[in-house]
Order: sequence, then structure tokens, then C-alpha cells
Amino acid sequence: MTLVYKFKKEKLTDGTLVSRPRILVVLNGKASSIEVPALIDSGADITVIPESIAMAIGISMSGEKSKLYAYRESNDVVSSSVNVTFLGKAGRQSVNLKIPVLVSLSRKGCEDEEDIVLGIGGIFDAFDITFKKSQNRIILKKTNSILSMFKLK
Amino acid sequence: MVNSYDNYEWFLGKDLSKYNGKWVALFNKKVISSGKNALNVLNEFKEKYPNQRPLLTKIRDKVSVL
Repeated sequence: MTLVYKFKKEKLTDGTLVSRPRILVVLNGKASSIEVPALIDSGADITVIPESIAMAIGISMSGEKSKLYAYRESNDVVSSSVNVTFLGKAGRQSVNLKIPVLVSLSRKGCEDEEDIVLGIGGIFDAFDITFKKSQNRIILKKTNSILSMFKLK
Repeated sequence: MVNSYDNYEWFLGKDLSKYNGKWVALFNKKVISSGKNALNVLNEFKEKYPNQRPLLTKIRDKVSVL
């Protein structure tokens, strides 16, 4: 199965235009589900979800605590997992995976949480991913890799 | 009702820079709620559409290295 997504042109506060690869997924928690045009990042080891989202949809927060390092900053995180549905253009096109995630804990007094980022773990073994910026396409082709340890079915 | 992928494509083509730095909940090709706190944005959406699933995202306003 092949799923096709696109880049989104985004205008920043300083007027700069950037194009970001955003793919449509559903995060399925125990309490509810949300759709997310998630950034997909081949430089991220693992998917990161902010604490408020994790709590809102019912993702377990009982995992091991650790630090997440990004460039010069670090943040407290909790290990967890989530069921993700990758949605395609046709209604019948979808792929379900259970992937490992880090839940990024909120800093006291700081509302400025980051977006949801899809990283390598559990995803890049399940799909061959091609970025075609010039054609405005991001192509996810399902693999049969046994390395896809978190696959549901 | 607009399906999920059509809503996603609407989001891709829409300039949402007036929401820079905020979370937005989208549904049926409309911004239903927005704000600095993701949970509040989601709760406000659920008050209006209790049985629906929003497209939720943060509108990033700065050059980012993830």
C-alpha cells in the first residue's frame, strides 16, 4: 500500500516562507482520538507528543522518565506508546501501527508546547519513505519488514 | 461532512499565519477553536462537536530545528 502526502507552505512571524512535510495521522488514545497533520522528521529518533495531548486522548504516562535532547536544549519526557492510523486519500487506505513515543512533559508556568513530531522508531521500518520536494509529494510505501516490531497486524 | 483527507488538504492550502504560535482545531474546513494551550483548544472543540474528531495542530511561527 502506498500513501501520498504533501508539504505545507507556512508563513512565519518574520515573513519567511518554509515548506514542512506534514502527513495525516490519527492518534488513538484510550479516551479519544485526534487527527494530526504531523511533521515527519528523519532526524528524530522517536515520535514526540506533548503532555497535554497525551493526557487529553488517554496515553499512558507511567513509563520510564528520561531526557530528550534537541540541538542545545533538553526536556523531561516519559516513555510510552500509541496506536497510530496513517490515513490515505481514499477512505479505505489506512495503515495501523503501534509505535513507541516520548511524552514531552510541560514546563511549569509555560504553555508553549511543541507540535507532534513523527520520528524514526516504529515508523521508518514500517514504510519506505520518499521525499519529493520538487513534486510536492511525500510517499509512504508499506514494507513487510520484520523490524516493524510495533506493528499491530 | 468533509472527510479527513479533504480537511487535511484544506489545511495544507490555507494560510493560517494569523494563528502563528497557537494550537488550532479544524473541522469541516473551518477553524473551530484556537489558543495557546492545546488541551483548552481540544476541550473547546469538544464542547461544540462532542462526537467529532478534530484535526489538531500547532501553527509554528519560527524557523525550527527539531
